[in-house]
Amino acid sequence: MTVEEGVAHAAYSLDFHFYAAIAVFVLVYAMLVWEKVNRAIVAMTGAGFVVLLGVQTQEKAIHGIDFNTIGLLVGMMAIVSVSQKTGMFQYLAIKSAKAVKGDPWRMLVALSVVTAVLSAFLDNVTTVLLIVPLTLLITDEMKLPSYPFLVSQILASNIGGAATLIGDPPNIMIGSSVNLTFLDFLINVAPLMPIVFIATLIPLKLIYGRSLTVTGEAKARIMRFNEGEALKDIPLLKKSLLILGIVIIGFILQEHLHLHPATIAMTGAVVLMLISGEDFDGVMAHVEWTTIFFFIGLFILVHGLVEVQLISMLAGGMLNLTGGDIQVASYVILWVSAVASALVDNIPFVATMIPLIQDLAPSFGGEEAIRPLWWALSIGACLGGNGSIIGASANVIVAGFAHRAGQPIMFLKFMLIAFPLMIMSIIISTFFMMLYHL
Amino acid sequence: MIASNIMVSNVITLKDDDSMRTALGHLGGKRIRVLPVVDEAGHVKGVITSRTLLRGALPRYITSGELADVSFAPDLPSFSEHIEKLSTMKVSECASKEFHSASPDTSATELAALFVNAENPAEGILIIDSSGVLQGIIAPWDIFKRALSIKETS
Repeated sequence: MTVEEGVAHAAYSLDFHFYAAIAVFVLVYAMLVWEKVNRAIVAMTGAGFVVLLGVQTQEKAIHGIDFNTIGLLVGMMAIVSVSQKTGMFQYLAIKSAKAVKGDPWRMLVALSVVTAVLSAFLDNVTTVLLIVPLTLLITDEMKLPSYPFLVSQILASNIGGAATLIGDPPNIMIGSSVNLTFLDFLINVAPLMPIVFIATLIPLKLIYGRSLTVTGEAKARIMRFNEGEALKDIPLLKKSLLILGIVIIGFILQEHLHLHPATIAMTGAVVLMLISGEDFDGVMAHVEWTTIFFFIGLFILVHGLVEVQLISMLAGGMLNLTGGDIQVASYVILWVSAVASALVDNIPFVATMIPLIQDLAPSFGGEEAIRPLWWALSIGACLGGNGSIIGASANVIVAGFAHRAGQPIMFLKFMLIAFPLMIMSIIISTFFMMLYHL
Repeated sequence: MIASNIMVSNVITLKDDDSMRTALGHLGGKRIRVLPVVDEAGHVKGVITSRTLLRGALPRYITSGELADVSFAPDLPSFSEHIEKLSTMKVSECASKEFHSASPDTSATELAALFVNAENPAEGILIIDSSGVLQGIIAPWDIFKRALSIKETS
């Protein structure tokens, strides 16, 4: 091979890899929107092809996987897998419904608060899997329509999840790749969420308030629930609460301890198994492996886009678009993330945006200066999930329950209420960003 | 020992538009656990058992395992309402499509394994020939009856 031929060959393979990476990525996205194939299979197939086509070596592909995100997710899922067996989450939900003496609207609010708070600390899907069946039982007992309850729980789970580092996958990914801590999210994002939550409840009250009436007998039924019966294994409950408490304190002190969240969560999970004698395989069977491998596949895919310089090209375009103004960039990211997350899964979107925003750092004056962009991405991607019934995995799960309970949540009917509420939450977030971060 | 010489072949069957009152009357009898629902040609369309009727009366979030434990809740009004109106319903509204079946040449060992290992405990195994026509039914006891040549004591 002459020098010229060598140069031409290098240019060709660069070009080929560039288009191959984009083609695989676009195909994967299309398959995800199509929703006919398990998303882990889709993402992992894409990841396989990126390596097979030579876009990146296996070594580089593995380097692209954020094992901190993976470890944190697996660890938390394992802890929840053990602790949900104790019935503590059902206990909490029944207790809250009884605390308001069976008044339907207040019960809707109470169950939504429980959903939001649990979502802030557990995976949203896990939260709704625990709370929704119980909600259906309560509404059946009281002969109430379940629809308003389920709609408000969808909204609450996404709002609650947005509040903390561990509440929603986008936050885990952002926190992990940019070294933002649990405390950072608590200070910079969490204060917004109670405001959004209350603002969301007001229109819901106006829409559903009048349909929620019950007889005195129905109220008496809810008071006959015996939440103590829900608690199954008191020694295990104590151990679970102990580990959950230590893990959350660990997250809060993360910076002083010089530990990453994955270490805290994974260690918590195995220590819980150690002291409770729970079966490892049994616990791990409850981890949502689809989600985990979906992440692994996406990380490899997006790393491929970084390798072929596509991300830096997009970042350049973004920089031109915003004129290098951090305020404009923040608002653009907030709104684009919100609308995008309402329509497609927010996980691949955030996975793509993270390296893009990292690329912007030098032009905006360094890591510290672009902090608002991360908050904008987090808030937009998490709250955007409320915009449609397919906006987040938890929404889809709730819709499944509603369908089986004979009160289906229809795509358009839901969107008619949820999309305006989502836009309202982003308007509130815009003011929040303006006052607090910009 | 194969299914065809173990099975009971004079099976009481139901039609889609039979009333549930009839079905409940049969279930109230002594030895009937499974009532196959068949069409004109004898093809099995579903079954009615006490267990499938209970399943039908429970909400889906309980039967699908998401809320298997309801020890903390008082009696569900919809449950007793459903049971109470059963006798006014049609067989087609209550029949379950989930049942265990085997061909007439199935061995006794395989039948026993079906009874013991089935995910949903089998109350009876329908014996269906290759053209899909119901030939008979086997309850666990029938295996002993055939093996030990036990005569029915009426």
